[in-house]
Amino acid sequence: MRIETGREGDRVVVRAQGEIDVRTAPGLRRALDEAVAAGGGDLVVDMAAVTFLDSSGLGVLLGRLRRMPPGRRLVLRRPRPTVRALLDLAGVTRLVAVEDGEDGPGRNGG
Amino acid sequence: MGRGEMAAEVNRIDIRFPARPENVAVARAAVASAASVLPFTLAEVEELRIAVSEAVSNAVLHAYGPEGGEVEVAVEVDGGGVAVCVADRGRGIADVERARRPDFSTLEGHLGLGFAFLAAMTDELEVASEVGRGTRIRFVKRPQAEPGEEPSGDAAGGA
Repeated sequence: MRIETGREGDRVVVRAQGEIDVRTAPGLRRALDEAVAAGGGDLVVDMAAVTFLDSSGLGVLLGRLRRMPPGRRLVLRRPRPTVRALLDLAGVTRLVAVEDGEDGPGRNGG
Repeated sequence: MGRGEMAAEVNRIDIRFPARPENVAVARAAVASAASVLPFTLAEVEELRIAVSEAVSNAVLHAYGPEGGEVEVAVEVDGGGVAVCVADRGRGIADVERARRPDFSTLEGHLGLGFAFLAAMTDELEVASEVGRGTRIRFVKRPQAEPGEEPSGDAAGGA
């Protein structure tokens, strides 16, 4: 898995690429924790290139959700249909904003 | 295993590997590859991969201490579906029923969520465990031809 962190305005965007499982989840956890610690606004996880997600990766996302500082949101961007299905099954999409737009804030269900 | 002529009908693949995190992806790929002869939809293949990942991750994370150990995965493919058995010889699960409870609220613990996903992704699921002897997770996944869906049993299709 490859992870890149960048900025879009005051948003911190973490792009993950590849499979998120028990081996790669710790790297994602570190990247997200660093992104939050660096300050800024919402934390956007761009999942367009995430080809696999299981409970290990889901645990990382939910753990970060719980630890988000007040006033900052966790946003999941463009999950693929197979990944989205797991997020739906686990109820994550009821807790976290999901953006489907190509780029920019776009629409999301608050 | 003395199955006689059944052996011709069932394609059985056994793989064995150290209980290490990097081998979970290997197990996923092996099972998905073995099952690719069946008319699974993309979504079903993903469910199969998730089920394998959860079962093997359970062994990698919980079966052994720092000394490590081995995980055995047996894949059996026949015309009706794929059966996967993931076994370890580790510490075992004291309360299997509790571990299996499909309680999505126990998101802290990998164990509860993993077993809930396993149950949701498979058609049959058996978990046998003995403390100090190990755990065996067996599940079956069958292609579900949904009405109105494009039939994928086309012999000409060779993805």
